[in-house]
Amino acid sequence: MSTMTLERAATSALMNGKRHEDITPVIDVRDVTKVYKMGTVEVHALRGVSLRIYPGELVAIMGPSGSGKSTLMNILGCLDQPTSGTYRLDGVDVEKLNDDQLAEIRNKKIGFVFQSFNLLPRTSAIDNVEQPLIYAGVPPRERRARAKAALEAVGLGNRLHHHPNELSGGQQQRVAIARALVNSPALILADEPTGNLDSKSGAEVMCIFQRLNMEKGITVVFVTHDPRIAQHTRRIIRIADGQIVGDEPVLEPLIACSDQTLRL
Amino acid sequence: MLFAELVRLALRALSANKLRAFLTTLGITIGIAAVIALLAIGTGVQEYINQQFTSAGTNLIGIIPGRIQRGGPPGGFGQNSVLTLSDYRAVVNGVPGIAAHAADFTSVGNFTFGSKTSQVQVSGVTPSFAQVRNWGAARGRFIEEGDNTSRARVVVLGATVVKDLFEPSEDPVGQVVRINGVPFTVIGVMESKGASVFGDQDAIAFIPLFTAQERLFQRLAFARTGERIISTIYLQAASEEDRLYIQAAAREILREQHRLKPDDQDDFSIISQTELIETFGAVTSVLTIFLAAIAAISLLVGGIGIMNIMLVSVTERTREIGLRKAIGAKPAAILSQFLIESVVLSVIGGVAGIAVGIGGALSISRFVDFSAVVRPEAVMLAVGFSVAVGVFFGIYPARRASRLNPIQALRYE
Ligand SMILES: Nc1ncnc2c1ncn2[C@@H]1O[C@H](COP(=O)(O)OP(=O)(O)O)[C@@H](O)[C@H]1O
Ligand SMILES: [Mg+2]
Repeated sequence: MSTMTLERAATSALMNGKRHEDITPVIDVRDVTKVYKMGTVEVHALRGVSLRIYPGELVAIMGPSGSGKSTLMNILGCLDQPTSGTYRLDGVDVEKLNDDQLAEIRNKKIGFVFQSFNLLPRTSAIDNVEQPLIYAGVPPRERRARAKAALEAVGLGNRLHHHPNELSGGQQQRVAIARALVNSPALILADEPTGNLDSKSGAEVMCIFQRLNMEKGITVVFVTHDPRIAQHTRRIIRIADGQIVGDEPVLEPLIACSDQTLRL
Repeated sequence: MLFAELVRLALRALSANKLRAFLTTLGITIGIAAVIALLAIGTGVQEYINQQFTSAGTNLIGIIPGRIQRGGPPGGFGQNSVLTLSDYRAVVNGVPGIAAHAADFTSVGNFTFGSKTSQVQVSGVTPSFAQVRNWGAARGRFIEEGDNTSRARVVVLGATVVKDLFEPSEDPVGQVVRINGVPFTVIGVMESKGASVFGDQDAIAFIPLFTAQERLFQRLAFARTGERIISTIYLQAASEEDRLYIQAAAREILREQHRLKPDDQDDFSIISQTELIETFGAVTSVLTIFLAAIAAISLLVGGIGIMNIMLVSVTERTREIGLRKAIGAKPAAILSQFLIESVVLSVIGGVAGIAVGIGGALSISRFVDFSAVVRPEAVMLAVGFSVAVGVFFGIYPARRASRLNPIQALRYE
């Protein structure tokens, strides 16, 4: 990661600056609402959210607890459908897709990272990372190789056969990130990926996100409560009470990667 | 390829909970074992019966007086219809192609020797009886033509009578026994046939036909017309086609002999060995199927056990299902995963059940006269059944898993 420089970060920021009409946003959300019905009570988790995120962006979403961040992330991840409004993913209207097509998008286009890791228990790191490739129909040999490469990319090349209960929280989250990126998605969505981690492990996760974003051009959107973590992006979107209340650029992003945080 | 992967997943999930998997398969094992064992025993009984009939001689036809209900049990003898010696002669002279024939007159006799007694069936027979019934003397000799013409008081004893009257060390041949008080010289001992579906076949003794009719059973052996009464006429055909022809021709001649009008029913019955085998076969196969069907009910219970465990498994693994959906598993893949798991469970149970069933049937055969026969069809049926049980009882839990909403599943505590 020593190759990453502030200069390059600045160049990318500049590119993000010139958003032409002819570039299709990865995420294009318009007037999305989400209402949860609990018996007779209706919870308005999202109250008309509109949002565009372009290819190559690295975005943090912040907001108080219960403001609708997870609800939004689930909709962005095609895990849930909005009550109203439209969501275009890479120009495709998600509402028109059937269950199989949604599964395919979750498999190939999106890598989702959860706060609670959600690794399969009693299953080795490499087997966990292989799971999306199984559903993609990748042959076993290639699967093995790609899972190994993904684990190496997150600095876990020496933990391939460890089970989740033999790994620290930070390592488990890195396995989960390897699983998210193993199918070369265009978009990585992470709902409070550092929420359960100490600051050092959090920095490692940020370093990986910055590298994926910089080196592979993957669009990364994640939720965080930590203002310092958010400073590692180039754009912070603020949500309160189901609405977007702020959307500002980060002029001088922090760099998470150093030889101390992650040795690769 | 995904299929192979799903099988691996299923095996892995099952091996994570070995005891539970074992207990679940036990239900299927018991059901399949019961089906296999009962089918094997039923088939064994059937083959045993066939063999018993065939050992009486092949292509054998028996004619007895009276009418028996076809397919029903013997009985319901006709009014006072009888077969006579002239019927017998008319048939054997009038029907071409008869390979061998014999006749008997049978009643019951009280045997005494010293202080010992035995009451068994006594058959007066023509000498050809031994050939037709494929049954002869083990010691001494059987009835011969000369015995018949001279009305000799000679007897060939069945093994049971020998046992009743003589010490094991004594040689019955040459001894004089009394039948209903009349002295008879023992000239032979029959081969032992043992017990069978017909009862104790050795509880019998043979004397010449004319001796029986004239010297032992005079009061029973003659019709009012003075004709000699015959209990059974035996005809042997050279082949199956001959048998059918001989049966038809013998019937015509007997109807003529008995002066039956065209719409009168026969007052005699012609029974062929083949038809008896078929009749008994039909009875035993109905019985076999019935028993197997009862055993199959235990499969139902086993299937419900599988369904129960699969529902528990789906609930326990709700988060896993949610995660799999989140990383791109299609509903069909989740459905297959759980369906394969339940089919693997039931097939493992089925295979174990086949082994236990075969083992059980073989060990039962050691204690009875017949040997159990495991047909490949029965094994295939059992495998098919266990797959069907797995699919049938697994489909509901698997569908439930495949329809879970990923977000709700991931949030499941
Ligand atoms: N499945 C659900 N059923 C009912 N209410 C829900 C559900 N999920 C979220 N909510 C409600 O929607 C609101 C937003 O929740 P969420 O998106 O999880 O907030 P955040 O992630 O920002 O903390 C909260 O009030 C929450 O209670
Ligand atoms: Mg949340």
